[in-house]
Amino acid sequence: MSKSQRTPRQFLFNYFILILFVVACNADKSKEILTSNTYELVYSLPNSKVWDPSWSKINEVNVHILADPDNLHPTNGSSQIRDEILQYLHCALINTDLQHGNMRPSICESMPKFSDDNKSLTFKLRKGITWDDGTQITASDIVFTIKASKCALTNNVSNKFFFENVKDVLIDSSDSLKFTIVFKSASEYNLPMWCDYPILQENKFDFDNRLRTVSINQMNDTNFIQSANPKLVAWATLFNQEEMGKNPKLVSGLGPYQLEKWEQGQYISIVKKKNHWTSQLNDSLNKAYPEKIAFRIAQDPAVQKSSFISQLFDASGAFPTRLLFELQQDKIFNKNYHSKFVDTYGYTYIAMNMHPDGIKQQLILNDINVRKALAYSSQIDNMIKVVNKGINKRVAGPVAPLKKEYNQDLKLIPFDLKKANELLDASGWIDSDKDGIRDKKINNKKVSLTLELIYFNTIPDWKEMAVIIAEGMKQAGVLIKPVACDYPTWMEKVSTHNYDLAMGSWNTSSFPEDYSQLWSTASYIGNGSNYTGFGNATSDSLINAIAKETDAAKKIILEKKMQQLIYDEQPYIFLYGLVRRCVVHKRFDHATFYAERPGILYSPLELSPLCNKSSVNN
Amino acid sequence: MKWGYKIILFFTLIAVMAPLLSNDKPILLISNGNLSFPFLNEERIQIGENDFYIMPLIPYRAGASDFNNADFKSPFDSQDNSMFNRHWLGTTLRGCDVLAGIISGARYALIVGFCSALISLIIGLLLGAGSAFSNTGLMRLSWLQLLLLFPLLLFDFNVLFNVQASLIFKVLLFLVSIFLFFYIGRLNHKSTVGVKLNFENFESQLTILFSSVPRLFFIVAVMGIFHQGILTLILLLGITGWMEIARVARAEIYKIQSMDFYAAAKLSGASWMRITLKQLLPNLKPLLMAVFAFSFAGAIMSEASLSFLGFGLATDQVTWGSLILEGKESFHAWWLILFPGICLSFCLHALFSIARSWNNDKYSL
Amino acid sequence: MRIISKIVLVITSFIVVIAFSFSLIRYQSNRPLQAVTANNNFSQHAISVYDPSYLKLYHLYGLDLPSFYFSISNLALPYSYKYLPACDEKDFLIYWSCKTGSPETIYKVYQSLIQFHNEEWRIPPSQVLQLQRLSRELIYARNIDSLNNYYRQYAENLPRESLTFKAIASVNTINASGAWKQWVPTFHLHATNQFGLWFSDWWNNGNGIYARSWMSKNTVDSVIKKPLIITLIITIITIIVIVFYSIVIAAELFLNKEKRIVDYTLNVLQFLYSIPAFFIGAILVFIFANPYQLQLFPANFSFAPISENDSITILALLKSWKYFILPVVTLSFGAVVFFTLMLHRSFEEEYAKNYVLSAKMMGVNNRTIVYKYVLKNALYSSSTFLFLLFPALLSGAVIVEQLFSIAGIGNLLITAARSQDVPILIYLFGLIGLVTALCFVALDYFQQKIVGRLLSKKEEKE
Repeated sequence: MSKSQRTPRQFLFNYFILILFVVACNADKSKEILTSNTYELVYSLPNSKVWDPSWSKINEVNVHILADPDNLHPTNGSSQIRDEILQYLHCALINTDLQHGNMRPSICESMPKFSDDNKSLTFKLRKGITWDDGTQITASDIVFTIKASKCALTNNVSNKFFFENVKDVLIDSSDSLKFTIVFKSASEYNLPMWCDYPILQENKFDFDNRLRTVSINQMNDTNFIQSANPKLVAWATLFNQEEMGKNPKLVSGLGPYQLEKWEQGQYISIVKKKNHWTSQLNDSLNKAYPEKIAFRIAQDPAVQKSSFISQLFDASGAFPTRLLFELQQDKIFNKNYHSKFVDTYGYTYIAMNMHPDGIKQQLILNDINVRKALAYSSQIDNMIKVVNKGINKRVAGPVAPLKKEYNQDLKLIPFDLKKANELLDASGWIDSDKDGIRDKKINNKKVSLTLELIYFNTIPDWKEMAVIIAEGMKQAGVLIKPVACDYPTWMEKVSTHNYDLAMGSWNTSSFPEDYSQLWSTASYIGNGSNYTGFGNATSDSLINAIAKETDAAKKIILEKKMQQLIYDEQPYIFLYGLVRRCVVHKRFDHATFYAERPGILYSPLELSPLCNKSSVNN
Repeated sequence: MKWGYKIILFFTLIAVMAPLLSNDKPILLISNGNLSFPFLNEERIQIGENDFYIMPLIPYRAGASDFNNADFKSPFDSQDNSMFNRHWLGTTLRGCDVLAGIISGARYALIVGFCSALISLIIGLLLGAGSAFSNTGLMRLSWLQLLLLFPLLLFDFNVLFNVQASLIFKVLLFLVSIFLFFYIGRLNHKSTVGVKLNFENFESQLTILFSSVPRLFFIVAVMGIFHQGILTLILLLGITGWMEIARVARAEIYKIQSMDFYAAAKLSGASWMRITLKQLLPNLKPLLMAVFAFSFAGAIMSEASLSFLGFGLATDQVTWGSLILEGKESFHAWWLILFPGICLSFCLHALFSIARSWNNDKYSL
Repeated sequence: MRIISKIVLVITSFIVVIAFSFSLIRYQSNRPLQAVTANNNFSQHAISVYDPSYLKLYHLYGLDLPSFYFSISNLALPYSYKYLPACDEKDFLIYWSCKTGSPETIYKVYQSLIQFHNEEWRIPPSQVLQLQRLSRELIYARNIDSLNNYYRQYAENLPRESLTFKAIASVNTINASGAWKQWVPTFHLHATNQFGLWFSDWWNNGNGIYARSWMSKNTVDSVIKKPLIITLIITIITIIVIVFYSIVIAAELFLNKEKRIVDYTLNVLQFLYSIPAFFIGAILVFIFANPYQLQLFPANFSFAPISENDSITILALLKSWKYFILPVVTLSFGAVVFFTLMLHRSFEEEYAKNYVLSAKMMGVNNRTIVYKYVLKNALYSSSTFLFLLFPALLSGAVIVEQLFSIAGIGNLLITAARSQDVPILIYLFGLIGLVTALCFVALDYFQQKIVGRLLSKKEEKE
């Protein structure tokens, strides 16, 4: 080795060459932030007028998704992406009307009618709707669906709660398409529970009619599991099997598409059925154009970027905000894609534990002054500017500004250290030991103003958000320790109220707001979603009043009052409204983005007719 | 090859002076005639208009946001600050100063590298030497000790992990029990009955066992489950890095044992202590220095790789690896990859050249 | 014989490593049930410790079993208290024991718990729920007195036939002279334990809590199969590349050692060696795969035809050649440099030997000497490196797979570690450990038999 004497000068030279090479590859970037302050429910995008030769002419939509669904089982499952895919494979009695933010009939002739006591619903199915094997859909299929969902033996976790309220189904003796569902009690969920809920074919899932041996009423019995006969248990085991949610032969229903292949961690592809009932009905609503929709997984931002630049994907609803913003500056991307940031009903927040137990959590956040001071010392505007490019809009309360009942009197809390300091001083939090963190004597014990902020480790941006929030609060003399958790840990900590601060997000829809979930004391005691411990007798009675009120105008007044109540108590620091990052390739016509979930429908996307003309020209 | 030392010295100086070099607090503050050094403590200070103060060379703390220069400002971009407060090596997404990050990275790299290499050295030397000496018959267990071994192990385990007592008491008890064990061995020192402890076999088995654990795999798996922190990282790196040291130490001690001067020292009746201090260690030194430098470099490399994978230190600690990770996630920010990378490879290179200078035979690199 | 003993050693060390990591992980991760019941997506709630079915599931999955074949404890602290689920009742017992102070009360409570360990339920689930509600209500009206009150009420309201009641009663009856008991260690053997369950489960491809991935709910085998194949392919290609390039570079450098460029090249190689792989990879991606600039090679492996299908065909492999370039270059960089320099040094050593001199005298071409005779001997002396290359590359693959988003085992490891997917972690850990250990054995065998025989043959000839 002594042949070559290595000197620092030579190494410096090597590095110099390396630096030159890398700097030469540097791209220059210029950007400007374009944000609007308007809220819209629907964005209809214009069809493209020119056909670019680089565009693919294959009538397939490649959709970008972030992760696999848990399964594609028609009833047992819970992930959002599963719901999104299932709506192409199955049909429901009623659908969400994305255009207007309410419901519309799907396989029933018209919207169902409630009886006078609001305890029963009457549906009538449309004629000519057939299963894949050609048989007609009847009310007995609906009965089967209800039984399979309600039966205590099946693992239907997320929807069983709603079906507990179903008492019986009465099939009209004269018309096999007409039936009435009877409920135990009148509830606001009685209609929305049917929305986008898949209808199953009895003949396929229960060919020897085992479920007909039990009635729906029998299923209401608490000892149903103990007394169930072995044949039924065997059926349920079969029905719960994972194969049911994975095998392409088993995963199919009334919908216009069927599952072709599911490659775990890679993609899920669904293809258009050849003889589907919609083709005979000439139905414009349920029309499906693309021959194939492939849901492909890409998690790495660099991967997503390069694949959208090279047009490997056609659509996405799950782009990272910063990346889409960056791509929107790119001319080629804009030439190829429609893209838009669409405001949704969800929001992100930092929940504060209003009832610390004094053992694991110090008695800090039970003081409203501290909560207010924390809100005043969080740099939310800067956070949005840095992490989300200023695209997301701040929210002041728990209701999205898209809704009518949004209380516009609520003011956004500014970043005001002076105010925060005043509030903390007033509560007796003083930095007595001069270590930069305030402290106070509680029960003769010195407690320093140190709090733990938990957030999900799955989203990389949230780490930055937590750090920015912590930096702001540090300036007010509050030490925040950001701790990343995986989802189960976060959930466990929050639902057992074993936390100080928790960053999270909450998704709602255009349906009427349900305040009891987040803000009622019952939800706190029952380990529900009231993580903070907000609430007292007044707020509880207000929530009840809102639920009972039928008059729309009066309801809005009550709801605004409720929002004011939450705003004053400051159980949350409201951060910003969630934004869906919608992208669709311009080679498809009728691209529409909705505020309501799922945001984009892929089946109405039609390959632009210009495609054929260009081939003639060539 | 003196320049290797110079570079390490340079990085060490930077690491030691880190709070003086880059900080968002003044080094010296004269407010109303009172002189203070705010950079020494954590107290929040407010600087009045008439106060005299001296800011550090880089007036930014590692990892602190600068919203005016956020969103990946390159070193050549126009920046929203004065000439002296410029971010000379660019910024990250939150506007953190990269130069400050590199200084803090040097600190963590050297701390983690040195401490874990030291742990490796201690473990490796003990095991290697033990294995080499066990062959000479110096270590043997008497039957009494053998009888006591298992109950004593049980007792110690119970004391350390199950009994409710103060930690100091537990550790003291543990040490006493170990002392007792060896004292019993000395009691019947003269008796020939006993078992010769073949430590060599045990050591080689242990070495194979630990060598068969891929370092990065192990640390990622454990860091994923345990709380991430600098102590855990140092311990894990130390525990997984001693095999090479043990192997080298054993081989070298064997070699020394077969040499004439060692035999002469032994024959002349020198004490065990004297032989170790005067004969063994000076002859082991060059090789140990080389291996130490290598495991130092290896630990720095592993720490950077782990930070790059996101399994390194805690979130608020900026290291070279975490800067490169941030650069990898955004294509255009070359300064995030380049500068920490250069520091890292300079540091590694210096250590390699030091290792080479101590030993020109065994390690060609 | 030596080899057999080595293999036995490897297998034992493999089991020790797995058992160690298992216990470590089991000890730390307190919530396998939450992990199993929760989804990787955000919508479904994990089972709460307050759920009445929690205890049932806990027992069903064998989580109340000891974690290994033996455990060390003491007379005052029965082993099984550690495996009680984290339920309200346990909280209460610990609270209550701590209130009464001495460790022997803890012992007594758990002693009596063990006595009734086989009873199915301690408190009827409905009552547990009721008590929890009570506790929540009291915690809501938060102060510590109320907590004390709550636990006092809890104790008063306990049904007489419940285990906890009996435990407290027995504590009261036992006199307080058992403080010495905690100093007496006990050694327990457990025929049924979590490790054994897991091992048999894994062996039989069963349905147990440790035999399936906690995230994707598939069997561990099926999760690992494809990533393993992809990583193996990349590793093998890399080994071929390393061996080929380092031989060629080293030989050519050696043949042209008079030229000035050789010195510089050696210098550059030295410089390149100190650059870590991820830095090289990041720079390669930046230069060659930057979407703004040259897009010469794709940096995203997930679009390669090979990762599209579940079965890997030769055709798909050939089609995706372009995707292999950057990962293989990154992975082989350090090793090529290291091996080249090593070979170069061996060349220098070998070239000074007598047989080279005699070949030269016979008028053999210098190039032929180097490639035909010197290379062979140089390779033998550096065979150690080649055998240890494989495990080293597997470790290096973790970084490269992260960089190029290759769905190999390194990527799997990272995702499993992030989501604390314990079954996958243990499996991967054991697998890689086994492969590495086998490489050691193979190296040993190679050095013993082949190199040894060759050397002895050569000596015979000479």
